[in-house]
Amino acid sequence: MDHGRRENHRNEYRPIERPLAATENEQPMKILRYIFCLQCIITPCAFLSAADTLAIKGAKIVTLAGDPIENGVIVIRDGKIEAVGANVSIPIEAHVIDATGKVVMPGFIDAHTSDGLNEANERNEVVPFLSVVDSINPVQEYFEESRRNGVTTAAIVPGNNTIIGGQAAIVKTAGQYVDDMIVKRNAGIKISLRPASGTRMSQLARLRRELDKAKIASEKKKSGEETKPEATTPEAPKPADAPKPEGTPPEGGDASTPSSATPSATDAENVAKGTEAMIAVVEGKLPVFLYCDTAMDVSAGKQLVEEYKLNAIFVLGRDCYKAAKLLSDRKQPVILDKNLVFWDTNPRTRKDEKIILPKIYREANVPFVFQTSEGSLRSTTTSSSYLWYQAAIAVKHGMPEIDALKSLSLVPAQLLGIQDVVGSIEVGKDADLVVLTGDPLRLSTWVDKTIIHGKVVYDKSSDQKLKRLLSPKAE
Amino acid sequence: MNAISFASAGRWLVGSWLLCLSVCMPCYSQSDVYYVDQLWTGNGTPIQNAAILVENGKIQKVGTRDQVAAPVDSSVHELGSTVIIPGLIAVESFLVETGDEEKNITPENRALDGFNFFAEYQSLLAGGITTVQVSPAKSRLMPGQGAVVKLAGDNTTGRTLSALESLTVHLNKSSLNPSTIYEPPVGAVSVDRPLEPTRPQIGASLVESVAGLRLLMQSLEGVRSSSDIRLLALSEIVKAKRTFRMTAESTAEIQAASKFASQFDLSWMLVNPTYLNVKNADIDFKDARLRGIVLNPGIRPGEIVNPPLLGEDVIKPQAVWDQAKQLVEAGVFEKLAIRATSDQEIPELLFLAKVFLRSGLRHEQVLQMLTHNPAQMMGVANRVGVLKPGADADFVVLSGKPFEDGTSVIATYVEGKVAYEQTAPTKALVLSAGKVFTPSGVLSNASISMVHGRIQGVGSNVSMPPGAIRKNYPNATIVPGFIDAGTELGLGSPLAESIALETKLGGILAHDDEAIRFARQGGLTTALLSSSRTPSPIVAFKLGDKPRTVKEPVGIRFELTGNVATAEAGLKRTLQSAKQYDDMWKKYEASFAEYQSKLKEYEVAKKKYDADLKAAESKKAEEAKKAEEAKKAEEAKKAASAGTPTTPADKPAEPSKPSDSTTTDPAKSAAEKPATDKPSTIPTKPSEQSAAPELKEPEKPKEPEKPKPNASLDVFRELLAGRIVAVVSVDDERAVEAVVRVFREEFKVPTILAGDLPIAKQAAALNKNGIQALLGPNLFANERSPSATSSKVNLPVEVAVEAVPFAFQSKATTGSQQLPNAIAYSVYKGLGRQDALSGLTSYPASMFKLDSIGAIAVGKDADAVVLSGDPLDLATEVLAVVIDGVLVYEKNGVSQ
Repeated sequence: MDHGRRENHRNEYRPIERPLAATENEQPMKILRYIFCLQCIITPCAFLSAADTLAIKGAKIVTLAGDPIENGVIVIRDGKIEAVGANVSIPIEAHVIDATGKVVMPGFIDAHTSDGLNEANERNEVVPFLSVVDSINPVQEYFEESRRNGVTTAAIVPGNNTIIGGQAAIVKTAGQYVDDMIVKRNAGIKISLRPASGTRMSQLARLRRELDKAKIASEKKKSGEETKPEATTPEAPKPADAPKPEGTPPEGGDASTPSSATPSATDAENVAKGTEAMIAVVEGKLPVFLYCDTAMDVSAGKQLVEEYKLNAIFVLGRDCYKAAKLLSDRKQPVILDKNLVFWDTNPRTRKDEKIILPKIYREANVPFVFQTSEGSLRSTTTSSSYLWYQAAIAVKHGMPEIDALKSLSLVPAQLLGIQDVVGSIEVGKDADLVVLTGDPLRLSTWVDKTIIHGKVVYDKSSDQKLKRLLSPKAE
Repeated sequence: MNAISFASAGRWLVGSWLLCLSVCMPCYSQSDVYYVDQLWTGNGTPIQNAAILVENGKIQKVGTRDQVAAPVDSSVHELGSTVIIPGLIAVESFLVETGDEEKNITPENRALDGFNFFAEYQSLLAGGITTVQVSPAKSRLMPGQGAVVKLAGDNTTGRTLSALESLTVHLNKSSLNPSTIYEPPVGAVSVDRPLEPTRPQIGASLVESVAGLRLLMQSLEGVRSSSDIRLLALSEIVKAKRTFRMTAESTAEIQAASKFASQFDLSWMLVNPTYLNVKNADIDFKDARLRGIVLNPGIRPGEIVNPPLLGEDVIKPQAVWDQAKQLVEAGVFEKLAIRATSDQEIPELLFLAKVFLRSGLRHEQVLQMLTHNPAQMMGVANRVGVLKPGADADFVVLSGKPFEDGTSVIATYVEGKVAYEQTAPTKALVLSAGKVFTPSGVLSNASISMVHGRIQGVGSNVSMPPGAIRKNYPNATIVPGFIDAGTELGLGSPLAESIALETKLGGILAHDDEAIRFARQGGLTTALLSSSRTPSPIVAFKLGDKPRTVKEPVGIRFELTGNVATAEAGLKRTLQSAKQYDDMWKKYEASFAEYQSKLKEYEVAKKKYDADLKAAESKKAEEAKKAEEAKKAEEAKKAASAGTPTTPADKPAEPSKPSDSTTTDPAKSAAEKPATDKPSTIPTKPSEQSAAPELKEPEKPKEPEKPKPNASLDVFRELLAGRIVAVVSVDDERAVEAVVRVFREEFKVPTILAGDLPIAKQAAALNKNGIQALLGPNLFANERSPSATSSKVNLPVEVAVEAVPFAFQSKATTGSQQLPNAIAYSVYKGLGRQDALSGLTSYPASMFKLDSIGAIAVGKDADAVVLSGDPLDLATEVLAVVIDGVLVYEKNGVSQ
């Protein structure tokens, strides 16, 4: 074992001798690996960059827009799906992928994650003006893992340890620069009901105050009044010696001297940005990713949604199952915790009970989608919480398979408002596809290829990491 | 007596009814009618023979039985001799998320946000509380706004009776210099954290606090929409004319609260006015702005606390019931409510309120202070507090009248649904299985009914005790609970110290022991425990959550190991000294019995003697009279009877002597023996009788001297009498012979031999001498014979073929669980299954003289093990274990 690993390293660091060998597919394994190393370096989007037209043939196509098509063909042009069906002719110029015996599905969508960010949580608790776009790192391991597991789109949302944590964005999981990846820039705002500091009571009090402020600003805007940043900042003049904004004032540091006008230019911009976002929130134009940590947060959250007419997407901690019934009248999917099955002690009987979240929410008639993490710092796509494993657990506990598959792509697309672009295999939508080696949700099935915008961004046959993981001795 | 049985009958009715309800719960939509003996509405006189009609969680009708007609489709519930009262209201509590703010003034905080609707409130519901007011914090000047919520129900919106009921203000000492607050420096300012207007500093005295509050109120004038969150919140509260709930204890605090309220024209509530002097207080109690006065009985049920002594010059507070009395006289009864002393006491509100009966209030008035009055003052009376048409169906079923001793909450309803129900007082259990092992053979498809921890019936058609839990294991086998005749379970860790023989181990057994819980999953229900340092007493106990001693001691554990000669001599000495002690007592008992029979004889004789003596005396006196008349002539005669005049002086004292001894002796001996016939008392008035001239006083028998008792040796006396057994560990064949010599031949005590190979080798000798075997922890041994065919010996088989009864011991803690598996191997290697099962059940029960266990038969303890197949087969698993009629272990989802 040890020996094998050492060998591994030796091989890895050997310089690439003959890059031209890339075309010689019949070369021995060793040379092949060099190519892949090279390809890894060039980053995923380099694949098949020349081909504008791609066709996938021979596969079973689970479109999620109708019945599955056996032995179907998908034609992709300029990153969009041009045609799909059983009797579609393949254009002569198309690069053809023969997927006979395989299954093609729409790319999976991770509806809520803070992975992919350099840091999930801002230390300030009310930062509606911030956007995750500035913090997304395209070379984060998360994106690589996502492609490996068939996730083509992800809603990157600020973490849960804030009050108003900033704006979320929806991105594709492949791209060299953030701007290449973005599907929707202002996809929503993160509001967390878990106390960031202090008690739930003060958390909610501060939150209400911000929403009230936004409401007033919205009304002023409607009545034609100019919305200057001053409208939302305290009126009193700022002392000359007041320290400059540093990002993290001490906790509980409510200022105790009269405040200030003339904030610096960037502050003014930020305030304007934040106010704009919050106005959009109270006007129901910008969705809110409303994180509920415990069951009591769900009832408080529901109150807030009703009181301020928020367009909310409930992101639920695992304890929220106790309040599942409260969510049944919303009819909108919720985002479940990544721990779908766990043990909890019943406070009345003091007995441990197995809690199966998909079962509880299904019984309560609450539709749901999955997430791979709960805003933790670590990527979990390789662990037992990757998306289609979550769906498989739900199927194990009684969810119909088709519903589970829809909850991987179509349902989150609808939830995030991007169903016109992604979520199913339909003509005109982005060609974000997953080619599976077999039927979905089976233990023996692998993601064979992941395609984003008609480009193969992941290919199992060239996945060195996976190979090494599965057979370290095979080197 | 009659009343109690009546009440319990009522409880039964309700109990069985609740069962029905829980079954048909999902189809809840129709109407329900409840008939009870009495119904207390919460604001009037109780209705006798009452009925209440509930529809969709609301009360439709309340009245006497005749007034309330049950609709056609309604379900009728006869609750018997019970009493219905409205759900009680805790007028003040702090049932919010713990953790105080680092700020003294946070009017923007809402207690509702910190109230967990999804927590368990069973203890409160069990106390009849259905509605609580929650305040945000205790030790802050202005911690925020309280709410009124219900403790049960699915719909959190519906459960919120008032989201913003009042603003809490604590003027009492708890808010001065509050803990966990530090004033942070101004610090960095940024857009998201701008500087805010000044807030009042934390007050160190009442003056500062009140001044701060005034400043706060005054600064509300110029509040603009985007300024300080606290001022915004406060201005909204003032605008909405919400109640200020002010806690004020001292006279000054009460005065300050009252002045503050009138200065700013506030609607207010006075909480905890300990030093309120009703007559002298400068408060207009009738003013409508004073919403209510919340009194605190200051009692902690069942606890004793030392109140501080107040000096001479200090004004003593009025008793809370006197305050109540005077407030009632002042005409503000409807403004009075009772709060619990603290959150812990809320479940005991009914008891705490009893103290107000001292005010001379009627029972229904005191109940009103827990129901209608608080609802009224908090503005939620349209929904709770009174049982009236249109109100929520929140009510409590009591076993008797409220405030009566012994009354308990049978069930609590919130919006027509059961939120709490008393569990059935008897725990009856009925087990059914495909096979049941009984002493009279294996019954197929039989049931066992267990009531009060005993087996009440066994057979294919047992009668179902009322309210029994039914457990059906269709293809399973039920065997008696297994007995581990030697464990180290029970004390948390193995016992290896030498302990005195009279030690009662049963009293120090650990409750809720994880090891016990684990061990019994193997089917063990009874274990025997002793110290590994001998001699040690052995205790037999049940492996329930609270281990129960079956018998103590059941025997003495000895060891005859090492050098056989020395060990034998040592044991012999021990037994001999015990025997001597026993003999000494036996002798004493014999002589004492003799003494007592002699004493009886003596008493009879003495009685006769005394009577004779009296007669003789009276005769003498007559004679003396005569003699006086004829003095001179009788000179000589008088001299002859010179002793008699002295005897009357002595004699009255003398009869008391034997009477003393007769009364004390039986008392002394009572400790040793059952009381002997009580000797008749000596008559004080002697009958007149003619006495014989010659009188001889009977001699009083001498009481035998009592030997000095020795508790340790007393245990040996039990042994020598054969009431308990000797368990002797041996590790050598010669030791077996020594045991036979010492224990059987010389001292003739019931003996059990513990060991491995030597016992198997000497099995025939054991049989001959009536010795039983205790096997384990190793049930196999390698024969140490010089022959080449050295093989494993299956010890139980060796013993069983010689017809020696045997038991098993694990000598382990958690490992006891594996004892049945170890025996399963013996069975696999040839031990008869029935023998093996007997070795775990009936044999040890009879060997150790434990009559109540070891078999599934009527009258025995309800211990049983449910197995998936044949007992003592490795292919079989334990499905459930019952100890004393309680299901202590069940594999998930095996019963039907």
